[in-house]
Amino acid sequence: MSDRADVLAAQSVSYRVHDVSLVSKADLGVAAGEVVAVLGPNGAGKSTLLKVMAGELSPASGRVVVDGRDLAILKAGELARLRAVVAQSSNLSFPFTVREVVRLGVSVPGLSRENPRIERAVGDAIGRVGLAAFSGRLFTELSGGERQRTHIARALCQLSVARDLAGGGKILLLDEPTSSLDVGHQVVVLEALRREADAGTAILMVMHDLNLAAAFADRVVIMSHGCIIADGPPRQAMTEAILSRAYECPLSVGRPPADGIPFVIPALGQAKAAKGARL
Amino acid sequence: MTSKLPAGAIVSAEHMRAAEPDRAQQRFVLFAVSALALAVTAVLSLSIGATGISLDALPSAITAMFGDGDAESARSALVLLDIRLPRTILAAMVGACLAVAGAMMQGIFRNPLADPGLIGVSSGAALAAVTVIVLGHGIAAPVVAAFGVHALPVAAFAGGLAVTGTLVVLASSRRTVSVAALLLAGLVLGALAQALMGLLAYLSDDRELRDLTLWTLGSLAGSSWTKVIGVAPFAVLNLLLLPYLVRALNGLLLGEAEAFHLGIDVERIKRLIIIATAASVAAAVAAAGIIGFVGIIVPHVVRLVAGPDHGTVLPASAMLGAALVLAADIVARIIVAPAELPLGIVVALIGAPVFLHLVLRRGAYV
Repeated sequence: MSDRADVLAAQSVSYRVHDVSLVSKADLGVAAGEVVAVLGPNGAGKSTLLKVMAGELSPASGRVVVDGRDLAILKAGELARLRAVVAQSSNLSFPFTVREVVRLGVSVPGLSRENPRIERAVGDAIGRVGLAAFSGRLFTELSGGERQRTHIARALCQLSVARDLAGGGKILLLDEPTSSLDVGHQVVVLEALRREADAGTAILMVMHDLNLAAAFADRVVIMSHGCIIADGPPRQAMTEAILSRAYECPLSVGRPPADGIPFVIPALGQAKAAKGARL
Repeated sequence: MTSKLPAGAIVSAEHMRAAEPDRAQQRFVLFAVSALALAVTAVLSLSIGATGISLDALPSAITAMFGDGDAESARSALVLLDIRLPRTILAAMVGACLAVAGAMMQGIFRNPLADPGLIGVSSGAALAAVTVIVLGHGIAAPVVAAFGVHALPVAAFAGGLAVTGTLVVLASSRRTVSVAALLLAGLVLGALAQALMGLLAYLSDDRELRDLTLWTLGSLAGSSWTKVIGVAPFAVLNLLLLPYLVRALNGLLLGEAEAFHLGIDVERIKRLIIIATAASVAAAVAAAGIIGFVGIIVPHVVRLVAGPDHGTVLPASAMLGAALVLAADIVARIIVAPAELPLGIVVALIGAPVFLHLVLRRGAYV
């Protein structure tokens, strides 16, 4: 790890709530241009780790390093020019249009509202998630998937404006960005994220769909009970033993000879058998 | 019935474009109408009253204020300078403060029905004012002795700030202010203040009871330059603060975590907004008594017309809030002349039907 130039790194990060440990001693780095997926069952500490690395929660011990600096000393404004975050769910009860929500991502203060460069960045981000025809629609009238894509566009807009005007925009953190998308829009969003990574952005995202993660991520990090139990390329980290242990459920991993990307299916018969045995 | 659409026709995109709100145009219309309403109500407020100064006579009365003109213009100038002008300025400041405070509370509570009452300013101010009215010769005598005729507004201002300060302390833990805790503690303190006011009303004699009832209904009848000077610093500071709060309030509508992700120092902004709201509303209530409704209805109307962007909502609310209170004050002065109706009643009577009409016409969204 020492020769890696991680633009975002958790160093022995632990997080506790009332003496219950949610994340313990997590070490995780993301390099520029790399896409890292965090996998694991519900309650494994994935979202908590993401929130700590986003600066939203302060670690009980350990530290998070962002672009070479300790996150704890960065001000909210400085941090926003380095990284963007898409939360798992965020509702909005005021009737902003899609364009207005995406424009909220412009995190460099003091820019005039009708700055043509800003407007271009906003329109571009909306187009990248396939919402060009929706830019004037009210957010409150969108479907769940359209709302999710609007928030992703807002984050992409935040990064591109920060990159153009402030030399930042290096990190993107997402919590289950494809959870309410149909398969076609999953592809649209993941391809947009891949292009963002190709432009040099470090991407860390929590995912639930193991097969999507295997096909898309450069690296996967597998968590269980607050600990990282595996970290590596999908081909190496996603083994039957590790996944079955993490999810506490027998899983079968297949590898098509064509590309060797693992695919995971639950071994249903065995799961029933295992449950029966436990009873 | 068969559809006339050809197979594969793309109707959805056209349909969606048709529904696009043109925010720039909406903003322009809103600002123009608000500014016009403010100008018209301000001029009428200067001209209408016990001594009518006709609109034709208004310019000569204004020049007479600076020492030029005949005897009648001079008398009008005196009325204008000592009575109408402070009252008009005070009405505009009170309206602007209340409307902007409402918009800011709706922003930090992420709720279109929030108002400054949630942070205890009005109940604190009312309790202090009622205490001075009822116990002015008892426990509150030192306050009356120290501030004389200004004891009531000074006490109301201090009471409003004190209750909000207490609330913020109660709702804070580990250097963060919890909006949910603020809401709950606000309800409790509000109920407590209400109970204490009930107790004071029970202890009061008939004259005090009438005084305190009228005070809680609001009035600008006692306007003076002293009150203008008392309120102006808070109103002006509050208005100067607005451009700095636009981006933060917009971000806060997405949620506190999202606002932080967007680079907003959420805790600092929340405190700043609470302090600014408490100070400006306490000053407004101290000068004019309790005037409800402005803080909810004005920002709501503004959002219905031009959307929830605070770059529009804050300045338009300031102008429209000022215009609403000016208009209500004019009605209060003339409807039962030579007596005056309490301002709070008029605001509610004008505002409620307009509000209802807009909500029913434009659909349920805020």
